[in-house]
Amino acid sequence: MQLAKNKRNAIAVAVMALVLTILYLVIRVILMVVSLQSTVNEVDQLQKIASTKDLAQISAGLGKAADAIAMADASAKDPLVQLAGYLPVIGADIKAASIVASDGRLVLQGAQDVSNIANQLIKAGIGSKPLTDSTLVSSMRESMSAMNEAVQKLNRDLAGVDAGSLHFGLDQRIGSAKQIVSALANASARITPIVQVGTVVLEQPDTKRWFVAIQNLSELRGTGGITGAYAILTAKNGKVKLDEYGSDKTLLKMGGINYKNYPEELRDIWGVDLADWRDINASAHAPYAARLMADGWQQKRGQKIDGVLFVGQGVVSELSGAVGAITVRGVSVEPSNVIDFLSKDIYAKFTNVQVKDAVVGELAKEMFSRLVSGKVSASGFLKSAAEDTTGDRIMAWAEDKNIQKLFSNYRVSGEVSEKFGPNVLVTVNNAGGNKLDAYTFVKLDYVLGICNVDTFTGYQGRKSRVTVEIENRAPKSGLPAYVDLRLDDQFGEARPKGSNRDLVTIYGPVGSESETITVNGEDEFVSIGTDRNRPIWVFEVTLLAGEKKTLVIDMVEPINDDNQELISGAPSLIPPVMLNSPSVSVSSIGECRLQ
Amino acid sequence: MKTKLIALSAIALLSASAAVPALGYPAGQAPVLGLSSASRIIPGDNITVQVSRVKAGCSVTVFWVGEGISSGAKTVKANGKTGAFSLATPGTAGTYTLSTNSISTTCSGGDAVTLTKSVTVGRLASIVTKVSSTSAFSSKNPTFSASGTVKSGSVAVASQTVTLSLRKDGTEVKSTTATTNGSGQFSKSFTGTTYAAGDYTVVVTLESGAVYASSTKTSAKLKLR
Repeated sequence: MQLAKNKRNAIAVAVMALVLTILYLVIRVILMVVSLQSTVNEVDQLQKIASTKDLAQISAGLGKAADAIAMADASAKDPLVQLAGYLPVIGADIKAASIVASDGRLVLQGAQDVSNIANQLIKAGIGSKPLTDSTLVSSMRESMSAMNEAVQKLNRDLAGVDAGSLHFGLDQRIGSAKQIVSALANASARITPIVQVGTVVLEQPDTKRWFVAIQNLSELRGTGGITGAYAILTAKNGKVKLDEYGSDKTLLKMGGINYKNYPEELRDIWGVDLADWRDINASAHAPYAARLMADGWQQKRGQKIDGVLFVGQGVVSELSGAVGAITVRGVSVEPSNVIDFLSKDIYAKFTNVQVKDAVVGELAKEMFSRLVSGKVSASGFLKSAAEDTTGDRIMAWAEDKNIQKLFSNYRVSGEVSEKFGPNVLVTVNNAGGNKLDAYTFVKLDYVLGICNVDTFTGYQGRKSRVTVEIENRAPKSGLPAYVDLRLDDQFGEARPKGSNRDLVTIYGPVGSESETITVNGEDEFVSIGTDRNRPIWVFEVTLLAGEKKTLVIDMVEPINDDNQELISGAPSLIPPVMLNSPSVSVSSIGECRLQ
Repeated sequence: MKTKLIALSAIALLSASAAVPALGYPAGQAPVLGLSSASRIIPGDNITVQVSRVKAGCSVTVFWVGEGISSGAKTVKANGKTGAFSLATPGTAGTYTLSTNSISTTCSGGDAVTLTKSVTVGRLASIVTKVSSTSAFSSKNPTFSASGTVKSGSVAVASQTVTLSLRKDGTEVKSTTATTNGSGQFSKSFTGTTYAAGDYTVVVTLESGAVYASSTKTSAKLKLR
């Protein structure tokens, strides 16, 4: 009797505990949903405030939204709520809401920090006046970097949510959030490196002279494109001055560069003249070209260059968004047309090469003049970044080791790593002397395959494959003469209009070796060398208008290092900096173990 | 880092033209010695090479410098390329120089040029080594010894002689040899010398043989006070 009573009591307690738990869970989930709804309302308000361009108000609005989402995040982090993510039917909804709450909170907090600091920097007259508080600039960089990480995480996490499995209208909301966040992630990934480099330039307490190489991605090089124009900036303690600007013709007139410091084994791998300003950035390792540019300026102008910044049409379009429309010789160059203008239209509009070069120089001058005077629009900057579809990215080099370390830490140094690891780089160097790479598209794939294969280079290894599909989408006719030139003097080879010739370089992992090399399935002869301790294979690819070729290297790459220790790290493939954003895929059949 | 070893590896074919080729804008106009699947070369196997960007009708020969192995001449085709040369590799593992004949100014379109590539034939071994001493003080008259392992991938390099060079501040003070056991391990003491204070390293060298090309590894420093 007593036993039965105890049993009944126990069941009653258990049921009550279960009911309370469910009740608690329901309350937590409701709190999360209500807080998220409140966040959405605050964000809606924020959009209205954003049109006023008042950073103080925007910052306050972001603060309210961050406060609202903090409550949702607290609920999302509750172990019971997290456990509920595994429930059937509503589990996916709870998980999706939790992702938005947790990741979204970090994004909003980051955005609030960034807008706060930006407001202070603008008030301090950044760019045009010396800084009174130098820590503001580095705070801006750190906040922007943190916000970017948060945005990228939110984007990754949301991408993993199957909107189709959600209920209560969440499917539509998450579907639309995915699109917005994806665009934001694209913009953030493009803007953050520019802010990282810009703030490093601004915060230097001593005068530094920077060479800005404005690359033309219509004629590709290892670091991006041929240097079509340049600007010389001096910066000290937050104040920037535009000293000089010009086109590549000015550089060429200076004469050849003494390149004795360039790695000897690389001097003829691409068949380039390193004394020639147009040729010096053939390697993917940006510091090589930067050093040559600095040496060249010192040799020809007697001025020390403290750092070099590489920018192409993509970065220029973002800067264009920041400074607004510029009218050059009757043409209004604005964020919406600057990429096409600089990569295609300029050649049709200004057929005289000297005039075309002058237009580039004038555009560069006006753009940098506005930038250094602080006449910039943050919303324009963000909008143009979100709309940028190029494969451009900023790279920076500094003579000062500490500054270079910063660039390296932020991964904007363009350094090719000499360390072991499953990472591959691909570059394209134009070998036709034309501007047809505006029509070049590449699709890249890196697959890590079977294990237990030794390399001949002394390591335990695995098989891997790199595939490069390269396509020339140029038309067969109708392009300005300057665009579809073929200046290469290839013996006996037809060079019809619209045809192009590129040197595609694949940088293998340190210690890797090739087993087979093919183009369109046929064995191919390639030029082979080493760059930055990596084997490199240089394919000479000629493409008719509309033609596509598939280059494949089957490799064996190390899984252990020189100390016979297992190499760790996710595989990566760094694509070429180019006008048409490359398609990249990386996959692995799994980790290998040492035998 | 096994930089030197990798640089000399089978896939690391350093280009070193003996004369200035037709370099200049745009890239890639100079004659080039191209290779296909030139890694993982077993001594005595054939490799295939091709010379391109040479004027049609010119004659090109490819050979191993100092080895008496030559391809025979090929005439450059209308597309500026020779046909594929199939060339036997030397029968002993090692690093060799593959060369063309001198390509004249007329044929190169620029300066006369002799194209060369350094090619490693055979496998490379990976050496791990350390140096130790019986005392950290020179006043104690210590004995130095070196030990380590020689492997090529997952395979122990057994019964091979390695040269051990003990160096103080980079200068050799004593040298000896050791033989690897079945697990690829070696160990040897340096005797018959007194040692002054300084930084000591051991440089281990595996000489070229029938299978393995020469490999070298330097140990971490050991400070003797």
